[in-house]
Amino acid sequence: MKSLKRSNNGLQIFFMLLPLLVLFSMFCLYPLLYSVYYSFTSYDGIMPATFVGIGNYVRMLGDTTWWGTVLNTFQFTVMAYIIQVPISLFLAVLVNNNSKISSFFRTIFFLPNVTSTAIIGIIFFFMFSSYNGIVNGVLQTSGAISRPIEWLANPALAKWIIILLNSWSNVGFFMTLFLSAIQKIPLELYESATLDGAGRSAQFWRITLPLIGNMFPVITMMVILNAFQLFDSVKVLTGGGPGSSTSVMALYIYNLFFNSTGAQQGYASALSVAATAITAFVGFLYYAITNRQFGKND
Amino acid sequence: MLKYNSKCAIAGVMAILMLGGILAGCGNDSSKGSNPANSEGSSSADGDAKTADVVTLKMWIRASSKENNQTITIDEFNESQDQIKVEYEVYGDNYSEVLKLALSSGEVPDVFEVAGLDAGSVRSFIKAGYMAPLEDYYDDEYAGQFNPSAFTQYAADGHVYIIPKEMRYQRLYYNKTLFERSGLDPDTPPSTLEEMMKFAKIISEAGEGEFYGFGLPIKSDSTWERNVDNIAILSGTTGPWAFDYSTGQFDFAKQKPILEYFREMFNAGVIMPGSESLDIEMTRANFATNKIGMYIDGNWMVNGYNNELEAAKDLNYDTALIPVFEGQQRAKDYLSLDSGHAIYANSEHKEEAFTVIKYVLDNVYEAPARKDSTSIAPSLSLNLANNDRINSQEAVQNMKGVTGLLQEQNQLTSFPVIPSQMLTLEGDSRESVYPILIIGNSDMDCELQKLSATYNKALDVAKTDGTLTQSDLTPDGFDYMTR
Amino acid sequence: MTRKKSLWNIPIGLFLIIWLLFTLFPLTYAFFGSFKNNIEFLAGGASLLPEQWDFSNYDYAWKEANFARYTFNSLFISIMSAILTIAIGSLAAFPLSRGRFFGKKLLTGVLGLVMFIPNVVLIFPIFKMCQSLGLFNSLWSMVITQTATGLPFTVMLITSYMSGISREIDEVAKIDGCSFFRTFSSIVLPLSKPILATTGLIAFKNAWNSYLMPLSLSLSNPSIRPLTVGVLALKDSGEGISSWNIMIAGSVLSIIPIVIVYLFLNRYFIQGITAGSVKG
Repeated sequence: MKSLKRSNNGLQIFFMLLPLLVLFSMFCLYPLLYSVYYSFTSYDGIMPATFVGIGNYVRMLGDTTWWGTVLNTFQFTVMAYIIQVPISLFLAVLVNNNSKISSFFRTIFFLPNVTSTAIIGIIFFFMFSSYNGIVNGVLQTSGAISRPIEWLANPALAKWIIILLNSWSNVGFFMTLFLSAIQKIPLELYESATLDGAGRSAQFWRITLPLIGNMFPVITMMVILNAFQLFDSVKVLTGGGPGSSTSVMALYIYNLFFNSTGAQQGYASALSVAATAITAFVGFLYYAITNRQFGKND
Repeated sequence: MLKYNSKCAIAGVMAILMLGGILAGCGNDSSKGSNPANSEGSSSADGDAKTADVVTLKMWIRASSKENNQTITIDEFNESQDQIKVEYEVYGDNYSEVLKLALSSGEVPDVFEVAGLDAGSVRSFIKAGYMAPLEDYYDDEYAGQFNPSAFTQYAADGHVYIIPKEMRYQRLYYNKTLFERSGLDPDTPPSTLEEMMKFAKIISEAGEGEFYGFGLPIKSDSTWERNVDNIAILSGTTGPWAFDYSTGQFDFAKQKPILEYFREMFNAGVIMPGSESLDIEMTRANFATNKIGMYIDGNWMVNGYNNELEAAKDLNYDTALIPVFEGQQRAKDYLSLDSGHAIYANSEHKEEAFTVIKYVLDNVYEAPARKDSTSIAPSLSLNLANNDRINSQEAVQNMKGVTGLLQEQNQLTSFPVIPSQMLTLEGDSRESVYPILIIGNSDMDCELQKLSATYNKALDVAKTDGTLTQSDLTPDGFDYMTR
Repeated sequence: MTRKKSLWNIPIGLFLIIWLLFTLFPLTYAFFGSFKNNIEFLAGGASLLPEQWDFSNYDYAWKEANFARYTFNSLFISIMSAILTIAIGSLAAFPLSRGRFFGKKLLTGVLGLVMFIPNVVLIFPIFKMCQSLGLFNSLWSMVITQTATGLPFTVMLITSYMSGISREIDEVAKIDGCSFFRTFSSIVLPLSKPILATTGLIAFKNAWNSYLMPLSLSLSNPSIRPLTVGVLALKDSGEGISSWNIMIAGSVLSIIPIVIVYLFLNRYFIQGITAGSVKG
C-alpha cells in the first residue's frame, strides 16, 4: 500500500513539476545548448553553418574590444556598488520609523523600481541631450557653462549617467531590503544603548551595521547580477558608443547577433557561452567567499 | 473588504482581456490598413486572395518619413485600378535589422525594398533563394530605356533579382539663410575643403551657440561612406571603405588626411555639438531648422526637404559638389545603385508584384507632383529617357536645392564590386573606429594600420573561399580618374 | 539631548529632500514635457512647464503611432504572464518545498544557477525556436517567453514562502485522506495567497517593463509590439526629431498604469521582496 501511494505521489509530483520543466528546458537549457553548439561554427543566420572548431574562442581571446566590454561590465558593477549601497543603507536608517512622513518617503523611494529601465532611459536621454536637454538648459541659463556639455558623448561622463540611471532605479529596492533587516533588530538594544549615553551615530556603527551584516552579501549579489545583465540602459543612452567605449557584454553580443554583417552568429554564440561562464564564475566566487564569512560570523 | 472587491475587479478585467486576447493574439490581427494614410499594412490570408477578385499585396518601403514619394505613388496605383491592392509599411533606420530577421523567419512581404543593406547581405539573400527572378516580367524594349547597370548590378547566374530605382550620390547641402547671417555669399558654396573649414568657422562664430558651421552625424554608420569615402574617391586615392582598386588591398592610411581634416574641424568646435549622439535623421532635422550650415547627404534628400519633411517648409538651401583639397584634381564621382525592389520568392502573386514595381519605377518621381502640384521633384531614375524628360522641365530646373544635384552627372560611375561588403570581419569595423578617431586623440597611424590588417585578413579569407576573385579586386585598366 | 537631535536633523532632512527630488524629477520632467509641442520641446532651455499645454501629443501617439495597439499588447502580455507565472510557479513550488524526489537538490541548484545567464544569451536561440514553432505572429510567443524566463526567480520566491508553512498542516490533511495534490490545492494554495499576489504583481511588472525580449520577437512584426518597444521604436523611425515629443508622451503612457498599480498595491510588492530575500 505504501509503495502504491508513493508512486502515486511521485506521479503527482511529476505532473506538478512538468510545466516548469518543459518551459525551463525550452527556454533556458535549449538556448544554452544551442549557443554551445553554434559557438563551434561560423554561421550567418541564413546559409547552413560551417564547423570551425575552437576558432571562435581563439578569436575571442584576441578580441580587445570584447575584453573592453567585459572590463566595462566589471567597472559598472563596482561603480554601482559604491554608490548604491551606502545611499540605500543611509536612506533605510533615516526612514526607519512609523511616522506618516517616513511612510511617504518609503513609498516614493521605491517607486522607480516599478518603472521600465528602457523607458526611463529615454527620459534620461532627453534630459542629458547636448543641445536641447534640460540639464544643459539649466546649466547654460544660469551661466554655469557656455558651451553645452556633451554628457553622453564623453565615455567617462556617459558611464556616470548610466550608473545614475541604474542607481535611480535600484536604490529604493535596496533600501527596502535593508529596512527589512533593520526592523528585525530588537528595540531593546537601542534603548539600552541610549541609556548608556550612546548617540545616534554610535548606535549606527555599533548596533545597526553589524546586525544587518547578512544583508550585504544578498545585496552585493544582486548588484552583481544586475550589472552583468546591463543592457537596456546602455543601449538607450549611448548605444555602447562612442565606438564601443561604453558597451557592455550583453550589448556587444546583441549587436553581433542582430546587427552585423557577415557570418557572426557563431562568434556571438561563443561570446554568449563566455559571458555565462564569467557571470557564473563571479557568482561562485562570491558565494564561496561569503559562505566562509557566514561561518566566521556565527 | 476592499481587498476582495478589488480582486474581483481585477479578475473581471482579466477575464475580459483574456477573451479578447485569445481572439486577437492567436492570429494575425493588425490594425486595418485600408486607409492609405495609415502606414501600417496588414496581412491578408493568401488563400482567400486567390479566389477573390482583388489581389492584396504586402510591401515594405524604406524611407525617412511616413509619407514619401513611394507611398504617394502606391496610393495612386491603388486608386488607378481595381485588381491589385497594395498594403505597405514604411521603415526607418533599423530597416536592415528588420529585413534580415524577417527573411530568416519567413515573415516576408510580397515586395520589399533593399535599401540601406550591405551588398554582402543582399548577395547572400539572393544565394539563399529569397528573391524571385524578374526578367520574365519585362521585355527588351522596356529594358532598353534604362541605364544598363540597372540590370547588371543585382544579377546572378543569369537572372536579374533587383532593379535599382534610384541613382544615389552625395552632395554638399548648405543653408543659404545661415550663409547670409554669417556674412557669406549665399550663392557661393565652398569650392575646396580648406574653404569649407573656413566657412564653417565663420558660421559657427556668427552663430554663438545657436547654430554651427558643419554637421557630422558621427553616430550614424553611413556617415563614413558618405563623407570620408566620397572625398577619397573624388580625390582618386581609394574606393569605398578605403579599398584601393589599383593594389587590390585595403589601405586605410590613405584616408588619413581626410580624417585629420575632420578631427581638426571637431577640435575647432565648428561641428554641431552632440554630434556623437547625432544620427543622420537628427542632423537632417537640425539642418531643416537652421541649426547647421553645411553637411553632406544623399541626392534623394532634395525631394525630402522640398516635399516630405514638415520642418523644412521654409528652408532656404542649395546643393553643391563635394569639395576636395586645394589643388587636387577631381576624379570620377561615387555612384551607388543600392536601392531597388525585390519580389519574395515564395510570393503567390509574383506577376502582380512586378506590376507594382514597374509602376513605381516609372512614376515615383512624378506622382507627387500629380498629387500636389507644388511637389516637384528631380528625377533620379535609371530610366534615362524619363530622367532627361523630367529634369529638363523648367519647374525642376528652378527648384530649391537642385543646383549641385544636376551638376556633373556624367562624372558618376559605380563600382561593380565593393569588397568590404562581402567580408566577415574578425575585429572592429571601420564604423566603430572612425568615431573615436575624430573625437579623440588616439594615434591615427596605429589605428588605421590595425583596420587595414583586419580588413585585409578577412579579404584573404574571402579570396580563398572564392567569394571574391582577383578580377573583382584589381579590374583591368582601373583608373580613378577615368573609370 | 534635544539640541543634538536638532543639529542632525538639518543635513538629514536635506539629504532626504534631495533624494526625493532626484527620484521625482525624471517623472515630473516627462510628465510636463509630454504636453509641450514639438518646437518648444526641441528648443530646450531650462523650463520644466510647457508654455502652452498641448494635448495633441497624446492624441497622435494613441492613434497615429498606434499606441492604443501597443498598450493592448502590453496589457495582454503582462496579465497573461502573471496568471501563467502564478499557476506554473505555485504548482512547481509545492513539490519543491515539500516533496521528496529524485533530483530535487539538482533542480533547486540549477534553478538558482540559471539566474546567472545573461538575458541576451537566450534571445537568439529563443528567436529561432519561435520561428520554427510558428509562434511568430502571436503575442503568445512573448507571454510564454516572459513567463519562462521569470520562472526561476518566482519559483524560488514561492518555494521559500511555502517552506515556511508548517508541515503539521500537511499531516492533518494526509490523515483526512488528501492526496499530495489535494493538500496543495485545498490547503497550502489558499494559505499562500499573499505570496501569490506578490508574485503576480512582480510578474506583471517585469512583463510590462520588459524590453530586450519583446524587441527581438517583434522586430519584423510591429503589430505585436508592447509599449516599451513601441516607444523606443520611434527613435529609429524616419520622423527623426519630430518624434521626440511623441516618445515622451508614450513614455508617460507606459509609466502611468504601473505607477497606479504600485501606489494602490505597494504593500504586496515590498512584502514579497523582503519575504523572499531575507530567507534566501
